[in-house]
Amino acid sequence: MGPFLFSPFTFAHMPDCILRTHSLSKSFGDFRAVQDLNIEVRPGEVYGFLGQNGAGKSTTLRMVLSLIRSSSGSIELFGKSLDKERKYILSRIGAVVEKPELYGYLSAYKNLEIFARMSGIRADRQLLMKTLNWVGLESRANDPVKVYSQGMKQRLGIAVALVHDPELIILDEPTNGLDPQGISDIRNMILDLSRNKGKTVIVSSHLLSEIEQVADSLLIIHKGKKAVEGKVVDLLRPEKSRVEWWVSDSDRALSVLHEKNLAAEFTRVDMTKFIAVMPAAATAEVNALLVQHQIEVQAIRSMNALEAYFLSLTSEHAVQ
Amino acid sequence: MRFSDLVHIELYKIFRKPRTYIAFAAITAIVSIIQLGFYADGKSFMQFGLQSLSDSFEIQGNILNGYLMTYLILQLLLVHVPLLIVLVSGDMISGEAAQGTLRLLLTKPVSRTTLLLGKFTATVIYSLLLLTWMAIWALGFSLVIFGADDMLIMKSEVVTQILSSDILWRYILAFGYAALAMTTVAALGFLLSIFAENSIGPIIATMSIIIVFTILNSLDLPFFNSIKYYLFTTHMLGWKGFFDVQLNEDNQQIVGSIENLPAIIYSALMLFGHILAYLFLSFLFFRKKDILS
Repeated sequence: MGPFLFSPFTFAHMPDCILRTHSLSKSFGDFRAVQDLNIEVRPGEVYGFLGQNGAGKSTTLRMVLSLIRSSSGSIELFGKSLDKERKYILSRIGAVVEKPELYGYLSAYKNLEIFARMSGIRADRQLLMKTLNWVGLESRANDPVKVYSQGMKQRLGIAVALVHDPELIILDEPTNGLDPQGISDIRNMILDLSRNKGKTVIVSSHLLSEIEQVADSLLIIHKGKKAVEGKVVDLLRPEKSRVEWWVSDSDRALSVLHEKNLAAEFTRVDMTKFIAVMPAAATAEVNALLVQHQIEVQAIRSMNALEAYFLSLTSEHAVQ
Repeated sequence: MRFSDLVHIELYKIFRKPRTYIAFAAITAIVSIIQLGFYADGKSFMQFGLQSLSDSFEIQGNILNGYLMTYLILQLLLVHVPLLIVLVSGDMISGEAAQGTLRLLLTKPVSRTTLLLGKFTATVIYSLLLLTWMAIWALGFSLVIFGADDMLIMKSEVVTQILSSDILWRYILAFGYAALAMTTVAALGFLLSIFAENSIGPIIATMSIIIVFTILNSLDLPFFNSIKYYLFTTHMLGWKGFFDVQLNEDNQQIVGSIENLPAIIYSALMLFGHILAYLFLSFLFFRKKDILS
């Protein structure tokens, strides 16, 4: 292996799908953690895997990494069956599953060296230091990991995932427990890996805001089932935004708006609040109309369809 | 990755943990204390022990020699060394699970069988090093401090004299046998560590099994006698058989002889069988284990 962290990339010999699952299911006793999940991840994209805590994200990713055996269904990576080609497949994957726990009594350098060898490469000092440098830990290479902050451990976990130059990187909740700066650092790393290094990245989170900032495609999983899947640009399209209005009199406001026959759906919530499903661009027009009819507009909150959908799941969860 | 690399990594991890050295320190301390005690007061102890014999026999020479010291140390220590072995073997898988590193290890392109075999090999090497340390400390230093001479072994009704020139090979075989016994303990601790998410559980469970089996061995009741032969603890004491010698018509030791070699071989095979069974079960369960930690 040469002294470079990332080899020049090409998708020429890649299969059309890096990861494909077919009717993937996992049960723990009577509890069905994942049900009939079909996923397709294409080369070079950042694939967001979104869901609340306990939705089945980690279980799915653990099945993809062969940490958990599926109850039924199949998993194909790089065009090969995970059951038959586990070793070959894992040599092309780097992963951080939940918290990146490493050997606290060893230094970052030693941890990286050990996992590089476990990944099948004999990395020299130059490569190991280059990898640590990429995640900003070069100056702390010889410190024992037990003194590292959560953010530093997360970055070291990513270094361990990358040291053997894998084509697919799986990051399970990589921003959990990080401060804003740490979250921003991880986000930038993911974007760099995808945009500049040609890596395919699967990243899971329970935070929509995290996923929508980095993902090209996303899947929302809810109670173990696929809820929504698609390209982020499509899902965030502003044609059908959900706009919440706080006004002085919602009944009068709705009466005015219904008279105008706008291309929108309105729902009264209470005396001072109503919701409109409408193009985001029409917000100014509606606002002007209400003001014109001397209805005081106290606040407006706009959400895209995806945000609204995810919020509805959260609300449902909260009620339960 | 090469299997030797895997074993090297596992050994590196074992010897970077402070708990690994507890066993070496404990053996050093216990053996030294016993040697010091006998060095200070051993002669009166031996006179008391040989009191009944002195009336009928004239005993000459260095009775309290290095070989006898080693025999006494082994009798006292080999029952307790398993507890030190388990400190490491019971931690091999459960320790990784508790740290959260097991999931990271298993996302690497190494089969579960290979990983388990690498870890077990490292555990066995650790056990062998511990026994080697014990051999150096108990036999080597005892010979330096107490010197060499014929060894008198006192049993309930018989006193056996083994010529000093006929002893060393017996110790080599005894330590080899002890290595097999300790590997059995290591394999049991290893098996139990697969089911736990922390190190304490398998360590205590293995110790408890050894203690219960040892108690069963010491109870001379018909019901327990029927199951004793299936307990590995019964066969762990088989090393003593190397110091039972055959006698000629003049009741003198036949040099190079072992009284009941088939019994030792049988016990060794029983231990070997236990090791294989524990390893087989380890592979069986570990291959199917869902990593949820």
